[in-house]
Amino acid sequence: MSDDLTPRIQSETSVQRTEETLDHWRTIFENSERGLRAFLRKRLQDSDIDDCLQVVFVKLLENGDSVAAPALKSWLFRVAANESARIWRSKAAAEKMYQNHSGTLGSAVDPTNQAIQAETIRNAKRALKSLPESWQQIVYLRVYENLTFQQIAHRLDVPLGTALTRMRRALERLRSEMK
Amino acid sequence: MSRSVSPDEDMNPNISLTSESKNRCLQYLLDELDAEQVELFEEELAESTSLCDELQRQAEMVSMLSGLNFGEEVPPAQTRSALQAGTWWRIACIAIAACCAGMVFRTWWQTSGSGSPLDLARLDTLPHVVVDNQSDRPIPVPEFTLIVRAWADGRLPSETSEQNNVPIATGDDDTLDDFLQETDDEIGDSSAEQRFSWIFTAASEI
Repeated sequence: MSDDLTPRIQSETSVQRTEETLDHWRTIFENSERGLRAFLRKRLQDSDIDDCLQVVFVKLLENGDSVAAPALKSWLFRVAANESARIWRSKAAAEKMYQNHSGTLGSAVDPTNQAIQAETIRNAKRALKSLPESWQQIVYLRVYENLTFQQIAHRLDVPLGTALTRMRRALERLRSEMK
Repeated sequence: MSRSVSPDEDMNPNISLTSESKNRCLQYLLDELDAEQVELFEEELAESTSLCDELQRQAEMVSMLSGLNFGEEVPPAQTRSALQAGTWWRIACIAIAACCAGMVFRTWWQTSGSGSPLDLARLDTLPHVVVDNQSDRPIPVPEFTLIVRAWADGRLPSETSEQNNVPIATGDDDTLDDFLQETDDEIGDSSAEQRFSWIFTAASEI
């Protein structure tokens, strides 16, 4: 193989990988798009839904790798919810002023934001540890081990409904303790 | 799949969702519904504000949890096989403890008690055994009874001299009455209490 061809082949391989990656994320997004639309229909006007979905897709391409597979759909809905809220805020007069400073206030490297994020993580860990052990186990198996609820129910020898309810109550308790 | 959200829910968005509906919300977010269930759920989602809110709440928490890297801090879940292994281990421990207790009890029963079939089979080897003159059967006798009889033998030389073996109790009330009559004559009233305690104890043992 000549040296002239090597960079070109590498470039083609890279492009191919990028296309594959794009297809991968597009497939994930399309699988959730119908649900996201249904979700956004209660929050936005139809004209804003497409804009919102576009932003969600871009964020998926940018940050999808950092999200654990079991939580990917949840993450998409969370982004959609945040984006729809931002669209609402942007329509308010006060938000216009906020937007003017958003470049400085909303910066990812803002030390204040980082401190808040670290504090949130500490609180979340503390709240998670305070849950009953049987609830913690289900959260662990579902979110970190990526087992289905059916597999968890079989593994812990509990009914499927019990596994589901424990997970849901764990989420509710975490939410109330982190408020 | 039936609808779990009331048709009136849109008129009253604060209406509470059923537990089943909330669980299905969780299954939807975690991709655990089949295609048909997903379609029905999304139809409900498009109509129900409560369901949207619930979905958003759950999505936030699941998303937040996935970013915690909490896995190392959570105790590993006990699996069914681990539970079974633990159960078997407990059963084995209980069985061993029961065997030990049984052996201890058997040893105690053999050395202290009487009346068991094993005792009757080994009576000849036991120290406190006398032979019934009438039936020639060995009969276990408590040590205390033997002492009492030895004391009584000293008091009744005419009876004991005719026998090689220690006399045994046969349930014959005449012998006991004779013995009591003679000893009553010989012993003063001052030691009556002590005398009777011996005699009654011996009588009860006989």
